[in-house]
Amino acid sequence: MIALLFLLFFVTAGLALRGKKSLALAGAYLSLFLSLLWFLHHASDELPILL
Amino acid sequence: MHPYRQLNALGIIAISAMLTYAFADQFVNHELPCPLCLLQRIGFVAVSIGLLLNVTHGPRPSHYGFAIAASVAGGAMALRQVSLHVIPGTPGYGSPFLGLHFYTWAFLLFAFMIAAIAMISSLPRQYDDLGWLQWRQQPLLCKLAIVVITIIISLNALAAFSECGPGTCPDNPEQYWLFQD
Repeated sequence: MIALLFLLFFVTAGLALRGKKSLALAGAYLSLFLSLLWFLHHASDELPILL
Repeated sequence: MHPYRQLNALGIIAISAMLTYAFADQFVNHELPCPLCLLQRIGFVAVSIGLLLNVTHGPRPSHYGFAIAASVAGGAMALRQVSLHVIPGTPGYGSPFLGLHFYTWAFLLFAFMIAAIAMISSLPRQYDDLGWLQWRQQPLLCKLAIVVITIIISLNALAAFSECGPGTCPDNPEQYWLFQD
């Protein structure tokens, strides 16, 4: 899943380089939103040292 | 020529240098990054996308706004990891660098980037430099920044896939998913 997030940002960079500004900005916010969702999933992680 | 685009390109190169160091540490010291560490790398990549939009399309408040939003998100991710290790007597994750762990550095850098981007975005003359520049029109520094960040993002995607696979990363990874026994 984290690899997919990197991939989404890679696609976003590609859109920016191709001159698709609106799509790139929308893709960037979508990627950031999904990253935050995945962060909420991992925010409850507990490392074994704390158990 | 296009000084503010080049300033943003410098920012991208600085972020790329940080990510390269973290990437090198992963392979040289054989320290697998935890999921929160990888998410902080994503935060840095997201900030660089905001700066990349400034390089390709000219500086705009919307691009700086995205970079600040990404810095806040990355800072929250780093702070969460700091809070996991803040209890006295609790060892940190990974080796320290200059006395601080990577996630502490990450929090400090995200905080610095919020302040720096806010200050740079308040300079009004840069907003006259409008329009998308094709690859051949870009200054050399901007070309370098584009190449470097593209390579860094793709290498991180490959490394994250080899470590975590398509699913959830383990909280405390000990081996690569792709190369497990």
